[in-house]
Amino acid sequence: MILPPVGLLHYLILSVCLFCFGLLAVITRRHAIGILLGIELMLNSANINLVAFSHFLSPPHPVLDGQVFALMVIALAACEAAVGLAIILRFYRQTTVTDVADAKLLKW
Amino acid sequence: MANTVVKTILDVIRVWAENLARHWGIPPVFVSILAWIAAFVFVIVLVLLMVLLAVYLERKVSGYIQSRLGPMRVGPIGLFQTPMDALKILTKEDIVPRDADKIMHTIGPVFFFVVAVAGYVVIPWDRGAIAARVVDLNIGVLLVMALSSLGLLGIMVGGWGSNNKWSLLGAMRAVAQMISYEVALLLAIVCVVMQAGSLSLAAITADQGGSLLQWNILRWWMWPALLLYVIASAAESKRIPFDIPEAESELVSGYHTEYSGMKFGFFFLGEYAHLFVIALIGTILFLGGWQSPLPGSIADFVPGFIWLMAKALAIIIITMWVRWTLPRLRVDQLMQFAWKGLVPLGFVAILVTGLAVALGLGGGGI
Amino acid sequence: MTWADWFDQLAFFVVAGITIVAAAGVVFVPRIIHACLCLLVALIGIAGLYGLMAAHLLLAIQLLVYAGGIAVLILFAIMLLHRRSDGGILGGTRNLIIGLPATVIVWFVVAAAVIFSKWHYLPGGGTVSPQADSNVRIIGELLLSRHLLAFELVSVVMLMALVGAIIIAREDRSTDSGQQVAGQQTGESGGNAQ
Repeated sequence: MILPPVGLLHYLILSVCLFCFGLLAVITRRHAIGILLGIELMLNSANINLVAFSHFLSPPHPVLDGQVFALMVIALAACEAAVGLAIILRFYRQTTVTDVADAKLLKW
Repeated sequence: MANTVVKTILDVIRVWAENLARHWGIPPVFVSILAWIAAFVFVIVLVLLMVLLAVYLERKVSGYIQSRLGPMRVGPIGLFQTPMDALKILTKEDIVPRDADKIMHTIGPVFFFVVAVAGYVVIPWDRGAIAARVVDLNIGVLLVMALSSLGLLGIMVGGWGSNNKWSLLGAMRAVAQMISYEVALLLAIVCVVMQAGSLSLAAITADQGGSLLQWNILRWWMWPALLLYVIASAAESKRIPFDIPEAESELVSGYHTEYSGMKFGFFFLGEYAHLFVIALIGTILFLGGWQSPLPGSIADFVPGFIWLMAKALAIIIITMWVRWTLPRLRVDQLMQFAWKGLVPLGFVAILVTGLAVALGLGGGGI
Repeated sequence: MTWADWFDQLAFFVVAGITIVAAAGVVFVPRIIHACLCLLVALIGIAGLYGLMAAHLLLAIQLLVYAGGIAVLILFAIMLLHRRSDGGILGGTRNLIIGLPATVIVWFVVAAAVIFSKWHYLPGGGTVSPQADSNVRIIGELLLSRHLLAFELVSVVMLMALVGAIIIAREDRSTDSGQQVAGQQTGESGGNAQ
């Protein structure tokens, strides 16, 4: 069996899979941190896309804007994780609850 | 001189191996895979030998500082004591606490050891002798730092998986300490990178070639970075005065309280491997790597590999001297020192180095 | 197909397989700390993918910031919570009934879009340029020229996130600090009950 050489499509399909797993984690995980994990996975799939485009669609001399964007995404993901975890910790300290399903004080 | 001799011998061996591979019809991909395996074996053997040596030195240095002899019974001047202890640790029972998380309890030390050894692939042992030259092209220092921060995860996993409060507390202390001091360490490395104009360890070594005065330790504008690196790397290797993660008078022995046998051995090996890699990186960043101190003189007849090892061993002996001399810090003192002392110092160091490089004192920086 | 091509494919499929299995673990593993370790494996796998695409700087940054920073932060937070999680996906059956079909539909739509799009391949794309060595320099120059505004904005956002996280997570000293400390101590001594 002869497979096509590894190209852009391989990476894009892989990143779709990762994105969907992240989405599924966000939807189904009950633990607040589980949702955070799903978001990290989705951000990473976006990063794979950016780097793959930068690698496969650029002319011979390197055009690395995609990698620069991936760097920015990583920086923002760090911010997001810090703030998200701070909120979760604060919430846990006040209610001793980590399940998002139990956070229903403001639920109508 | 000797550098070229060693290089010629290596070249002859390489050409011979390549011809042999061509003769047998082995595709070049497998030759490079074999080269990787050979490099891996070399690194593992070297690490194990250095750990044995470091443990022996630790005992002898501590003995000397405390006015006793240290190990003397097994072999001449106790030389075989450490190999015997290694054998003993292999035969010990592996005890896993009943309520421990079995998988995490096992993964932790193994991961810690693997990551500690992985850092060696980018060390330039001699002129042009790096195990993973592809990786060192542009990110050598960064990769070593990344791997050293990954080692932290092994500690966390092991500490949490032991299901013991001392282990958990030790792991959390280790995380807090190493993340804080890693910031300072990276700031110090940024200075060296600005000076050399490259992230590659080979390029950083080459930047310090020519004469003894080119070593970063003798360039006055690198001194703030040097101070920062010495302190932060001592904290990074978790040794006294920064050993609160395993402070034995408070936490039994921290994150490896519940370990025995070979799993403890992995933590132990990993720790010394990490100590040694930090010493090697310190040598490369500030002491000129494999360069001999007096190029053009008789010192050139000693191969660069020997110089690198000698300098790294000198650093290790100094850290041992410090370890057996200073008392341990308290947790809050440790964190305050990192964030209120070292990080501002790091910014000052970057400013000083940047000014020096911009004024043309530095090497190929800008 | 040469040996080198074959080796490339093998490397890609091994790394991609590890990454996908680990990503599935993030969703389906019951205990949250194991899910976090799965995420860690996925992150390391993604770093490997960057390596395969010759993005060496991103490989190091991914290991340093994501695996060594963010994953450690999340693990640390889990240790502070020290609560057993309910069965991951089993607890939220209702969400699973809605979520799984929705996710599958998303997967098919996006994958179809990816496969049936016409990509404009430029000549030479996908090859590692000989001056890959200077990737770091090029990225640095891009950051400080074309993307300077975004770079500065990211630094401002990071500062705000830092301050915000500290303020949010800080204990209220004025109200019930005594209780907090007592609660934490009992929590620690009985902590990590599994």
